[in-house]
Amino acid sequence: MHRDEIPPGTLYLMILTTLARSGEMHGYEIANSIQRISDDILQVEEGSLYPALQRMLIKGWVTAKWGTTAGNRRARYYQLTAAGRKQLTVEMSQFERIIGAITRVIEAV
Amino acid sequence: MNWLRELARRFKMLMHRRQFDTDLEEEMRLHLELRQQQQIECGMTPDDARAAARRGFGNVPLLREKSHMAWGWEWFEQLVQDMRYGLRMLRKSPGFTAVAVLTLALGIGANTYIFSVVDALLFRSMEFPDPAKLVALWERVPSGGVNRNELAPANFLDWQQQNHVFDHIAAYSWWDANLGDVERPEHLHGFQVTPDYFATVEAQPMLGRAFLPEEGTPGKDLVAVLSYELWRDHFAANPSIVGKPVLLNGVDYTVVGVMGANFNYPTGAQVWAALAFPPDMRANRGFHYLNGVAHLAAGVRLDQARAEMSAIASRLAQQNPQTNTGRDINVIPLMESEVGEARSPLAIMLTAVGLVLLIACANISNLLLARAGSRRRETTIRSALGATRLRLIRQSLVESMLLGLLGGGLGILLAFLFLKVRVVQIPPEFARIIPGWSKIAINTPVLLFTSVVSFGTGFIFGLLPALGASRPNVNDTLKESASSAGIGRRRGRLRNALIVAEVAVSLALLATAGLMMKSFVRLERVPPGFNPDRVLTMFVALPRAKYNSDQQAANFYEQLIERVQNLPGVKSTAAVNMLPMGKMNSTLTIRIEGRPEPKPGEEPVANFRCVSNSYFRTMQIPIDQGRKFTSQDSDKGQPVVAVNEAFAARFWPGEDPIGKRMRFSGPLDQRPWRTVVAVVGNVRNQLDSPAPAEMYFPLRQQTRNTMALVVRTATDPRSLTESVRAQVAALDRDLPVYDVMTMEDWRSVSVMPQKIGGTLMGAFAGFALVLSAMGLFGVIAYSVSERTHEIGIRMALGAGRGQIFRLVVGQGMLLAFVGLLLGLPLALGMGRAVAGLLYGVAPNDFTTFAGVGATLAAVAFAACYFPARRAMGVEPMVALRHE
Repeated sequence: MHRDEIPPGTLYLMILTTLARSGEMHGYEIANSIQRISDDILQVEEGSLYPALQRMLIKGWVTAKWGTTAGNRRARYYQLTAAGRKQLTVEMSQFERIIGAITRVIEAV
Repeated sequence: MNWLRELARRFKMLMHRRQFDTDLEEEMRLHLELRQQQQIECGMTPDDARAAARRGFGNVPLLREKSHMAWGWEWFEQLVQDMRYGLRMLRKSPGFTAVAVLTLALGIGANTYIFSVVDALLFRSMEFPDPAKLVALWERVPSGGVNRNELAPANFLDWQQQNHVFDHIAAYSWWDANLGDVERPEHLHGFQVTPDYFATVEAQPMLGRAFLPEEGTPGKDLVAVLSYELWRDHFAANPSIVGKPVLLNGVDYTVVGVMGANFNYPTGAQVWAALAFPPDMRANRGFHYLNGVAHLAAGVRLDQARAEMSAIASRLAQQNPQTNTGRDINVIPLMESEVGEARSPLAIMLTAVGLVLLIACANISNLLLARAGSRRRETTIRSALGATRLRLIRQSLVESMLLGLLGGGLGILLAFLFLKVRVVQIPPEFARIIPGWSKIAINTPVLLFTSVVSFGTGFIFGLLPALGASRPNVNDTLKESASSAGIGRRRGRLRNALIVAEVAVSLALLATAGLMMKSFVRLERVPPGFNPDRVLTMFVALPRAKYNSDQQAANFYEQLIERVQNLPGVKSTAAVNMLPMGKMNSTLTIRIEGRPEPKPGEEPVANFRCVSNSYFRTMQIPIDQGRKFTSQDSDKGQPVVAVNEAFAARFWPGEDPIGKRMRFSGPLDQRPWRTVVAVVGNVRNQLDSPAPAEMYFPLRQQTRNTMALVVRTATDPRSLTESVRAQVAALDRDLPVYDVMTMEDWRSVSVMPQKIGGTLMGAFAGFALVLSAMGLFGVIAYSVSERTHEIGIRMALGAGRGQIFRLVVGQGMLLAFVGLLLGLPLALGMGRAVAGLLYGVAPNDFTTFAGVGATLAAVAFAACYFPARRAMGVEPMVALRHE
């Protein structure tokens, strides 16, 4: 199965959206969620989630706390903050603007 | 505020970064395991599943590092790493570390010490709200070369009235104040000041008030302001002292104020009283005894003030030709007037001590360069493993900075020690009147200076080795073939250049020290004109309130002399109003009988002293011609005077002065003619200048209320202090004695600046010499060990041991001589810079230069000798196998 690289800069958007939809998640769940929803077409290099999550922690978009999984393992759960929600709308409108622009370019040809 | 929270988060991560790393690792492990689990459930074998999970995840260590680096602390972590590594390297070579740190500690310690003095004397001695507005006022007689003459009261009053450039102007004068009503009477260092004084220097009393304008009139002037220390030490810091009387010179003064602890002007002042001019003084233009200080009005520049004051001076000269012809007014910024003289000696000291530190830097640079040679493999491996050039330089610099910091830390301790043990000793009587002396301390600005210097030195001596080490030739070094000749030679040239520079700077320092020490020795050998050996001196000031006639004062001193004379251990006793070597003098304008009246402004002036009859005998000043003063020379006898040789030579060259007559203008104007009865030997007032023309008046005919008692003793003069003091108390128990010193003390105080300068400079130069010798030894020894192979070949080819010796010594001496040659102009320049501080020595004194040159050459030879001996002992067969 062919898998597409995700467009650069959209990783934040996808993490933010995923977390907004389902509340608390740990890294593996986030990666799974992105793959599942995109029908396995969008393939995140799973590990690259983690540097991105660190940057989001620094920005204060998400917070992290340790909890236990269903399988009773220790895992770090990420949750959106108010700042993260605000960032999501920013990223979303930015994304829509770009997609819209690209679409217009393509249709003009 | 967001960035602040972000910073806080980053900082929190820094504090817990170990935890952070394990958390991250656990998180990623969980991810991989869960993914593996999932793949197994999809039917893969465990091994395949793990491989697939890893493939999907990406490069784990790289991602971990990226996550870590996202927080932006890698520079800090690398620095910590570099520091740890640096410390480890320093621990690994304790010998090198000890030498480097000690060298730096001495260098930085000396710099810190000197800077603390400079900081206190030049920057913190005068703490006024706006020092740039304050000026000192002096009278000036350009034709006589006099730049700082005290002010005559009538002149001051005219300036006060006529100027438009100052918003405040004040005069003050030294005032001996005997504090009475206390256990043991004490002499206070007091000043009488005109009422506007405190407003002029912008100082407000901490308690009470300053003087009121009406307190500047006679009768209302018995008011005093106390210094903080006097108030604390003598009045138990009693806040209700204001309004109470205090007994000064036998008179009740009302305390109107107490100054704060920070106010100390004039330096050392303990009490200020109001200065009121009596009516006759208000018109006096001949008696110069006031100091002037003024505050520039808003918007007035110094040059405008100067112009206006000069205009006033020339107007006064026209109106009062007799007294004011040729008299100008000197307006100097107060800071310059007070501490200007200290500036150039301090600058020289700071330069010298800075040069010593540079030599230390060169030495450590050299040691590092030598070590860089042996650490070449290490840097090469680091570079081969991917360390960037910048990282290599940084690692190397961090190591040097660590050395600098260690040296700086130890240096601060040393500077504390220097201050504690008083490397520079000044008798407290003098220390308290040197502006800023009491403020010398290792304080925040000094510590700041030291930290900058420490980092700076670390950077300076570390830079060359760091740059050198950062360009390793991976190929050559790793092959470790014949000591990679190319790099070795370049580094060798650098080390040679450093040695040459060290020798050059050392020569300059040694020459300067030599000049200053020679100057001091010359000065010490100057015969002062009297015998300072075993003479006790102390001052006794008689209050006018109690001793209001000249005869009363003279009686007192004569009685005192007689009593002290009878003490066991006393050989001879006398009194004089001004001690020689005290640098103080009082002058009179002279008219010689039978000579034409001199033009105004050109009247000859000479110093005078009032002495008891026993003075010449006690001080052992020879009477060349004529007779000594006797009891006949009283107020009833014929007025007489003794003159010194300089006076005789100036006014009666080739004539016999005995029997000649003269009289004086100024306050003594109406006195009858005085007859010269003796010519006595010259006495220097300060050792570095010839004796001025001087006159002596017998005590009974001209006295002063403040006189010094001079006691020549058979034993240690200090041992008689208490018994002499008891004799003063027996005559008047309210009289304090003060400035108790021996004549030898006075003499050594007068050469104190030269002594301090010479000693410090000598210490700096000695240190520089040792450092250069160490440096040269290091370079030659290292070069011998590097050239063992070559020396072996030379010997195998038939070179004799003598030839080898000459080869090695020749290499070292060549460096030394190039250094000496380059150092010569530097040394001549330094000599010129200190020329103003020298006495009896030319700034290019040949013997000094030859002497220090020879010393340096000899030390350089010694430094080469030992490595050369080692080179001679090389066994050719061993050497040839040596790599």
